[in-house]
Amino acid sequence: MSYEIIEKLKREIAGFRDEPESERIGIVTEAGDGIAKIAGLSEALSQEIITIETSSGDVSALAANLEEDFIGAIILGNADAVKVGDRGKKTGTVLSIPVGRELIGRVVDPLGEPLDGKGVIFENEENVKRNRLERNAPSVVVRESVKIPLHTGVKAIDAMIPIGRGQRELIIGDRQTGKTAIALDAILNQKQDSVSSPEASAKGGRRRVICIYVAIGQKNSKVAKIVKLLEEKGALAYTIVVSAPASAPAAMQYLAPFAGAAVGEYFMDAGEDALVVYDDLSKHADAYRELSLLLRRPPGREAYPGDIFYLHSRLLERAAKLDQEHGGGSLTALPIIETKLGDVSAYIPTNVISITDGQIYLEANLFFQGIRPAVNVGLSVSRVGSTAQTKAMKKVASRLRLELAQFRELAAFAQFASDLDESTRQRIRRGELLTEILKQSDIEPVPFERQVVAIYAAINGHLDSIAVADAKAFETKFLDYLEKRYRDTILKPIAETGELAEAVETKLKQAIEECKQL
Amino acid sequence: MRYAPSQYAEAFTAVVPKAPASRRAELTQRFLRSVRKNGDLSRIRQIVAAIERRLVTERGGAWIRLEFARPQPEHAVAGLRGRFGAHDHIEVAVRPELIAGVRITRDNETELDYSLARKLKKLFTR
Repeated sequence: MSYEIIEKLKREIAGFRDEPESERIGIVTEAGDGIAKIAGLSEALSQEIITIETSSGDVSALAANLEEDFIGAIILGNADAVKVGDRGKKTGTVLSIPVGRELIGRVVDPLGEPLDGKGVIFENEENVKRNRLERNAPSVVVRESVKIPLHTGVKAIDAMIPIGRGQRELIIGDRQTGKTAIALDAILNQKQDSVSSPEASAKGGRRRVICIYVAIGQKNSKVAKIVKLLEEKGALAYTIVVSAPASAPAAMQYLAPFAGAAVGEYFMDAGEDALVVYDDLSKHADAYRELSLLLRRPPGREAYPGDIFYLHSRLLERAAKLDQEHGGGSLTALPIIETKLGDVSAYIPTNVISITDGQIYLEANLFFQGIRPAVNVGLSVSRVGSTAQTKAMKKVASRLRLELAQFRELAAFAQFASDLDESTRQRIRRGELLTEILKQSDIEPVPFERQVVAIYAAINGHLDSIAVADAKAFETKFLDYLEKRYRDTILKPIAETGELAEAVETKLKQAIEECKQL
Repeated sequence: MRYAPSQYAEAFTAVVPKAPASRRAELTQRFLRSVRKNGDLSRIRQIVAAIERRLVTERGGAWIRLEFARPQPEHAVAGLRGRFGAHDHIEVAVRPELIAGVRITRDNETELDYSLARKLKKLFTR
């Protein structure tokens, strides 16, 4: 046996031909903090991968600054191994990540390496498709308008701030206001939201969405908790987690959202729908600021580099809904921004607000008042609007925003009034009732058809006779009742067709009255 | 503003080599004083290296670095030196990690690697 191995090795060595050729190289002149300054390599391209030959093996670096005499490179591997005098060589390739369906259910780093201990992702890595981390956003010509809803399972959002497939909707708020919970609800809800019939799917109905959760600068414990939750709820079967935790170098945190977008684009290009959550872009901006300062780029406002807007705009522009000629796939983006003391006028929040197609604004005051999700309906907006709503939701929720706005105004006014007329009191009560109905626990997304019937009952005055304190209990009882008695005649038709037909509406009214009698 | 070594080198080579031989020592001293005044004395090695490189380039030569795995007999090095131009600057270094053979670098930009280390690396990454 050993003889055979030796013979094989001999044959390999005998067949080895090596003709040294003149190669372009660079010499590391400075190294530290994950950055290397390399003299030479005058023909290096921007964003090109450079291989640095160190005493403990090759280390990859990303050419970031191209200057007259040297290049500034971001070290992607073991930065401690890079020493002054090491040689750097061009590779002629730009940064890319292996993509494929095998990634589903896995936790990977921004370079596509597995982090979950479940072994190799791709059996034959050579034949795997690779997507570039930096890619141009789809042009106007290949895009289609956003009109298919992406239900989050959060009543307040699906009813008043609808998100469409291919949209970019910002989730913004202070720390501990439930930003990640909304994004996770959106991921969990995809399990129950796809239409089951192939006919509806063929007509461009709601297909299963592949989700990508990008954790940037999060605590490892938080990422582990999220992965566990997704696994327990069965959502990991259609989710990919790209993680660059707080312990990862700034370079990895900077690359993570681009890796998430590259993975999402794989599914979009394949004609599927994908959702990517960037949690969060504030930390991403901080990582990029760190790298830029180390690369000696001139600092601008709040010490961020001048191209921080372009960084986020080129990332978020990659979210798109492609037309049928290009497969009809979509990539929806839910970036998250953390504000400090509710200051939405800071640099990064205003940048991302202006890039996205709307924002869900979460307020700490509402959160502590017990209104959860703590969505400030007045400041939240979706620029896609009701175009990305099903007919059923449009029918029941069209008056909701107005009713709540009137309620807030009257409630503020009523604080100073001792005696109110009957219609004002009625409006305030309705507003309180609606606020109560819109409350829901986190990690419990409500299926779209259940949202429709609950809001229908509240907004049409069917619950006016119920005390506000009992509204939540009635909602639970009513939904259970519908599930048991009217699953096939009310809930299923709404879920399948997305419409609230007259016959179904009549049955719904009847069911509400029956339930109230119980 | 902090000047780069290449800027010091540019200033030095533009003035000192073209000045009469009698003034060169004085100009060099003034140059060193301005380096100290700018707080760049800690980078004097880089500045001198940049000046050397610039002088070689201006003469039409190249900066050649010959690296061997072990110290070489003088006649072997001289044989190699003879293969380069008169204006080229040749420096010799010993790098044991090359295992055997020679590596030639021109102007820190182009490399010709005849070392055993490279061959082995290529063999094992095939």
